[in-house]
Amino acid sequence: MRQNSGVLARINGRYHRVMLRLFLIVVIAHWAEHLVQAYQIWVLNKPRPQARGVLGQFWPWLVTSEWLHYGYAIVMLVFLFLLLPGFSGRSKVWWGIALGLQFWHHIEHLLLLIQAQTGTFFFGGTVPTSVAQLVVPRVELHLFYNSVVFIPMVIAMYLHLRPTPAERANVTCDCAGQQTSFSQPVPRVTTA
Amino acid sequence: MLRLLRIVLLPLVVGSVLLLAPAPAAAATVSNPADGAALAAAPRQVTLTFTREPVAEASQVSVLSGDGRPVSESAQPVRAGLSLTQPVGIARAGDFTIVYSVKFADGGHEQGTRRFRVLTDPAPGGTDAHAGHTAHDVDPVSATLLVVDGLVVLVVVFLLILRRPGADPVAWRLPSAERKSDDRTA
Repeated sequence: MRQNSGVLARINGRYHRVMLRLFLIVVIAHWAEHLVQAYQIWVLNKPRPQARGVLGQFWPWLVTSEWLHYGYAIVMLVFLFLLLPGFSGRSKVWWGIALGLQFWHHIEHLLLLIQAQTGTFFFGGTVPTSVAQLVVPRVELHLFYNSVVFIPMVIAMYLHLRPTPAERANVTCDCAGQQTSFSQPVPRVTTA
Repeated sequence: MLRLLRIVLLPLVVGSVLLLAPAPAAAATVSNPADGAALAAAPRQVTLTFTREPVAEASQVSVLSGDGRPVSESAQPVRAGLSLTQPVGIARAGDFTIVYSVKFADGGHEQGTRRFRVLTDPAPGGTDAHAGHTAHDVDPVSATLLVVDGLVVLVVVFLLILRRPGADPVAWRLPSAERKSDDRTA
C-alpha cells in the first residue's frame, strides 16, 4: 500500500470510502433528476419544457438557467478527478474512462450554460444547443451521457471494492475492507 | 371685450372640463404570460385581464410568432369574468407577440400588444395545444440504456454480496486444487 500525505492523499486514503459515498449521493441525485424527467415525459406525457425533473419543478430557473445540470456535471467531474488516484489496476482504467466521458459531458453542459447566460444561441438554434444535440434530442442525449459515465464508474467501484492482490497492494484506502492504520506504512505485496 | 373673453375663456373652460372629466377606465391590462416574460415552457394559452368587462364577440386576441405567423388557436377569445383567454399552439421557441383589440361592455375600446419569449423548444412533432395532451413514445435507445444501467447495478450488488471483502479474487477463479494460500497478499 502506498503512503502519501496532503489533502489529496487523505481524500484517496483515509477518506476515500467516505468521499466515494458522497459522490454516490451526488450521482443518485443527478440520476433522480433525469429519471423523474423521463417519467414526466414518457409516463405523465408532460410537454418536454414542463418536464423539469425534481428540483426544477420547484425552482424552474435552475433548469432554464442551465445551472442545475451544469452544477451536477462539474461536481461529478471534480469528484471523478479527485478520487482517481485512489484507484488502481482495472478499476483505475474504468474510472479513467468515466472521467474522460464526464469531461466531454461537462463541456456540453458548459456550452449550454454559456448560451443560457448570454442569450446567444449557437448553431443557429433558438434555444441553448450543445454539439451532440445537433443529432440527438436533449433528453435522450443526456440520458445517454449519464449511462456511459455511470456504467464504467460502477464497474470501477466494484473492481475497487473487490481488487486483486496486486491491485489491493497499490491502493491507499481501505475501501476493499482492509483495516489499515493510515499512520503506519504497510508492506508492499509480493506475489509468489 | 366680449369677443376677447370668448377667445380666452372658452378654451380654458373647455380644457378644464376635459381635464376634470372622469377618465375612461384605466387600461391596466394584465397578461399571462406577463409582458416581457421569458418562459421555460411554451404556454398553452394566453390570458388578458382587464379592469372592465370585455365583450368576447366583439374582441380579437391574436398571438403571433417572431416571423408574424399566427399561433393562436381560435378566431375568438373566450371570456371568463374580466379575462379573455386565447389558446395557442406554439411549436418552437422564440419571441411571440399578443395583439389585442378589445371592446368593453361599457362601450369602451382598448388595443395593444404584449410580448413574451419561449426559451425551450416543445417536443418534436408539435405541441399538445391541438389535442390538449401530448403523447410521447418511449425512446427505445434511452429505455434500453436505462435497463442496462439497472442490470449493471443489480449485477454489481449481487457480486458484492457473493464475494465478501477479503475473498481472494485470484484464488476464487482458480480450480480448488490450485488454490494456495500464497496467492493471498503478504
